[in-house]
Formats: sequence, structure tokens, C-alpha cells
Amino acid sequence: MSVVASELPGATTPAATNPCQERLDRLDWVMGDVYRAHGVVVEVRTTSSALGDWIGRTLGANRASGEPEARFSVAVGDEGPGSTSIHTLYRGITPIVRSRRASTLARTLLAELEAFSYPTRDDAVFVYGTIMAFDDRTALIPSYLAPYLSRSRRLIETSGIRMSAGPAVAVDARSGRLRATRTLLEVPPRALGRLTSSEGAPPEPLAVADHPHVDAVCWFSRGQELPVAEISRARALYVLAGDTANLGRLGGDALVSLARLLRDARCFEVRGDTPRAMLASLVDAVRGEPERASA
Amino acid sequence: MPVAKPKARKADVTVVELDGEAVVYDRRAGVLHHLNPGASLVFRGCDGSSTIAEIAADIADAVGEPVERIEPEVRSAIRGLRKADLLEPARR
Repeated sequence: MSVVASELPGATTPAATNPCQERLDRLDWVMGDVYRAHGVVVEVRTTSSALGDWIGRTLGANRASGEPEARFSVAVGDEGPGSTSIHTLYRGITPIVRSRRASTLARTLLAELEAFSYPTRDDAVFVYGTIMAFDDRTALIPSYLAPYLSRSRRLIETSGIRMSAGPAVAVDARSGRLRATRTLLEVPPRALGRLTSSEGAPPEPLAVADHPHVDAVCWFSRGQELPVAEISRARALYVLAGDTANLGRLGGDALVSLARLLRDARCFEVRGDTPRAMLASLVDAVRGEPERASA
Repeated sequence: MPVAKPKARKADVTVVELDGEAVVYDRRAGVLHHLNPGASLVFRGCDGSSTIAEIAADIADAVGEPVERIEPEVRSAIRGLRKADLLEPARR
């Protein structure tokens, strides 16, 4: 009989190492400005004049001064007609999303800024997770794992995997279902629409509100032997609660809401491996294929 | 010496039970705990009116094991719960 306890994890931003920072700083930044997002002073810079204009217009009401506590860098590749360049959004020096669509980066940037409000909000339970959908199934994974898994682009495309944007998902406190996040940051209405319409295609990331029900919760575990192992729903609740932005604010009510989210979910822990191996293990587990997923 | 009757802490503590296990959030300390099925049974049994021997006997009954085997585990779980500050302070 045992009791396992852990301190609630704080924000986990990797420390900047000089070579990475220097490589990033050497890019041709054409626009950089400082904004205040929910009390946090943030620098946003980009290599694209067009995206820089959009950021300036969209975040203009939040312009601020002072020493930034966080920095987001939007590195945009070739923007010419027919370009297939990959654009990258960095939080600090960590690439958090790569996409051929600048609008995906912009959407994620806004979600990242909105997330500064989550620890003090009580209109939903905010879990640092990403929704991964395929084969009519929906899995919740840690958001810090999503950029890593996204490196396996071929498997994502062949499996038809789509992921939500942003560092967290909102869980309705009463029903325990996922729902859209209410935006409190002051941005012009339809700001993203203007960006996507110029790209001539529908928005790319998965809309959380279209997937209110979770079939599986797959969290990361260090030191387990199997690539992926089924865990109890209580164990999943414990790890999800530990990755909840406003647990301190909501207290035990958040725990009850998260338990509702897990009501019909199968729960897994996946061990560290290459992006392709981890993603393949997750996909097999969520599909219920037993050769990789072991109880 | 009075016989110990451990009592689960209620103030600032939320307990959610799922499939026989429990997740406990101690808001005062800002700490989460995951109790396995055995620890969950013990925690539930800590009602402040039962001695450790009585808690062990109840659990032994429920799981169909000899009390001599269960009682040391119950004592160990209570030590863990006390260390985690999930029990009311022992009365002197």
C-alpha cells in the first residue's frame, strides 16, 4: 500500500543555451515589439513584413514597454506564390509549431498569449494538453509533446492525424467535456479570418469544440519499460490534474471536472522514444491494437 | 496510553475515487496524491472512531485475507498518509 505525492509542476521553459539562441537571433528579424498579455510582458518578433503588420494590427491594443518576461519568434520561410516553405513559431528557443501556413502560427501565437490568463481563470478547467484526432477518435496528449511528435510528418499525414493549436485545452467544469476557449485578450474581431482568407484555404488546426469527448488520454512517463502502457483512470487524473493551469484557483472542483472528462476514456502512459515510434505507439494504443499497448 | 483512532483530514482536501483508487488534492499544501486501492481503503477507513486494528479487520473482511497479513500493511499505509499530512494530528 503506498501513497504517491508530487508537488504541482511549475512552468517548464527550457533554459536558453547560447548556440541555439544565437542561431535564432541571427535570423533576419524585420519586426519586433513588446506587448502585455494578461499581465505578462512579451516580445514578439517575426521575419515576415506581412505577418509583422498583421501582428502589429492584431496586438496593437496590448502594446507595452518594459523588459520582456517571454519571447515568441515567428520565423517565416519563403512566402512567394507556390512556396512550400515551413514556418516555425518559437517560445523562447523551443519550436512549438511548424507549418506551411502562417495562419497556423498566428493562431498558436494568440493561443499562447491567451494562456497567460489560465492560472487565474475560473470559467473552465485549463489543462496543458493538445487534442489529437484520427479515425473518429480523440486523444488528449500533453501539449509539450505535440511539437516533438509533429516532427513525424509522414506518419501524421498517412494516419490522418490532426492536432489542436495552443498550449492548453478548456474543459467545461460542469460537464467535463472539452469546449472552445473564450478569448479575453483584446484583439480585433475576425483578425484570424483576415489572415486565413489571404491564404485562400480553410483554417488548418483542429477545433477543440468539435471534439468534446475524449476517447483516450495518453500522457508521458519516464522510465517505463513498455513503449506504451495502459494506466488506471485515477493515475491519469493525477497526472492531468498536475498539468492543470488553474488547479490552485479552482481547487478540488477541477479534480471532479477532470474525472468527468475521463469517464469513458482509456488511459495510457507512453515512454520517450523517437517521434515516429512514440506516435506509432500512441496511434496503436488509441486504436486498441494490442501488440504495442500492454496493460 | 490511548489507542490511536486515525481520522482523515477533511479541511482543504478533495478526494475523487475512480475504480477503487483515489486522487486527493490538498489545497492547503497545493499537493496532489494518488492512492492505490489499498491506501484508498485505509484512507476511507480512517473515520476517527476506529482503531488501526479495527480498520485492518474491516479491510481483511472485505478482501478475504487474514488480518495478520493485512494489519502491517494498514499500519504502513497510515504512516504514509500521516507523512503526507492527510490525517488529523493524533490526539495526545
